[in-house]
Amino acid sequence: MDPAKSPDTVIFDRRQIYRPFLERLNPIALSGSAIQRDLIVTPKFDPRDPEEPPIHEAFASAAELQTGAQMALVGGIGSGKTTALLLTHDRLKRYKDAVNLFIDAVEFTDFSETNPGAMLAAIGLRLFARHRRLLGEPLAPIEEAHKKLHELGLGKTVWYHDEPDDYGGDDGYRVDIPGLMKPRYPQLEERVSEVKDLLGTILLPFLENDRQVTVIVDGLDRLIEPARFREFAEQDLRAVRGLKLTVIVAAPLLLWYDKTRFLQDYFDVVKHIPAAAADPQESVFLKDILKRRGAGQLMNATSLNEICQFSGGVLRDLLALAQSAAQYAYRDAQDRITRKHVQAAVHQLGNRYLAGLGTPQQRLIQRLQKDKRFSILDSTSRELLVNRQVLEYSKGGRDYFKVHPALAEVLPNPA
Amino acid sequence: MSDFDHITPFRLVRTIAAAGRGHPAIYLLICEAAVAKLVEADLRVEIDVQLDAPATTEAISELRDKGLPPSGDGSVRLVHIDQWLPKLVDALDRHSPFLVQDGSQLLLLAGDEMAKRIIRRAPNLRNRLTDVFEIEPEYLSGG
Repeated sequence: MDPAKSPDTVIFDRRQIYRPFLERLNPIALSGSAIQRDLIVTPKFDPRDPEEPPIHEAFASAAELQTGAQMALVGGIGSGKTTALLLTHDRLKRYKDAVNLFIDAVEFTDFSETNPGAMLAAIGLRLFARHRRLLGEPLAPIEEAHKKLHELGLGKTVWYHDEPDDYGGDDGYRVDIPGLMKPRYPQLEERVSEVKDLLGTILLPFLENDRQVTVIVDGLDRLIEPARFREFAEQDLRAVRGLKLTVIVAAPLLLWYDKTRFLQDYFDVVKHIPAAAADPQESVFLKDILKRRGAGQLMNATSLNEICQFSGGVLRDLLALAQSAAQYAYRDAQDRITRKHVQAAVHQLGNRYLAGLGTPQQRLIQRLQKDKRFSILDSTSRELLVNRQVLEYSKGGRDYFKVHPALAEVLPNPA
Repeated sequence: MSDFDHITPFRLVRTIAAAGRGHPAIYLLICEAAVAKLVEADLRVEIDVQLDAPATTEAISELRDKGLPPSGDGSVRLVHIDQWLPKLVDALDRHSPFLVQDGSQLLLLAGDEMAKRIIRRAPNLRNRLTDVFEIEPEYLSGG
């Protein structure tokens, strides 16, 4: 018998080194599972101000103390907004009377068009689903409101025996004559008002039972254009003002820089997550994130520091770099991640940011690198910021910009 | 050509196997049109041999009317982006994590220019890509 194949031979399987690590790092995996598995390093303070409590604490406290408050969380792609919202959700569970809903915008929109009222319908339907469990059998008016809301939200099928009559008598028709005054926020659309009333009916028994109701809506930041987000806010969010329903939403980064100060005027609390640290290489927070996921066992301190540095403080890039470096090491048949693997991962990430950069963008990036000048006013700059080729940092209350370090690493030298 | 690392179907599927089935992943694979069919064929074989999983192949031009719903059957999904459809790319940008949240793998195959356009237009997707590689058939890799 071949000794190599004897039943006593322990076959070395390198996958067992990397598989658990990769599983803990996956930046595509939903953040909820990371919280359940205790993989999240909870921030100790507000990323913009070390004197302030962390964002999830600030949101949870505001939700507990100011019923009906509306709050927004702004941050770039991969900055950790979903994690902050999930931590808030988790924190809110500390009181037994709290009713907390976490909704992803994909539940009510495919983003291809603005559909005012859809978010309210989604909230109402989710709230109704809690009614039986928390408050017992719903009364008839609530069942009725739910039925109507279900129809409005998800549609219905109606069968006609005859074609509907377009000329249905002289019921009159509506003509809206605009007035002289232009309201700051446009009128609520008719269907939004209707959905709001139905939501109010479903919400009422929760409020009568002194329940603290908070809705967290993630994903609206995928409406990258501020104007699209505003349409949502001006209809759905304004409709629930006064309903004693606390709402926390993720908002697109560009609103933070919006000249009209829409966010600050509209929301009671606004929080911004900049890139995680002014100096990512020194950030204990970033290192702790990697160590919590097992990086300390697979790489030395230098490699760990490099991953932190080249992530630029973007949390998803931090995980992506560690994952990519681990995969390089595995393909290289190595049992540990070395500097060579980290550098390969950095180049891959940098090339992702470089791909598709045209001359105007490269010029702006070079100007930022050379003269430290970057204006958020023009559309090309905003595009660079949204695409994370340029990152926003905050130190001592001052915002400033830097080229993503992984991109800087692969940028061609200017001619 | 791009500056992304080169990989072969064997090495890519080996990487997926290392992470394990059930580990969601989205790869953008850059491939010249002339060898796309060969790469597809190699990938299917490697997926079968190394992962023991079914592979489905779709072209985006065929999906234009029905979109890109999650497969939900545990297969590795190979989508050839053979046509520029901005609406579908926008949808991918907004919903990509939900396409693989059941733990499946999505392999997007595109030419060099198409891949750059996707990366430029879809920042959310780019940020969630597991990796981007230039992929070539085994016989060209010299390995």
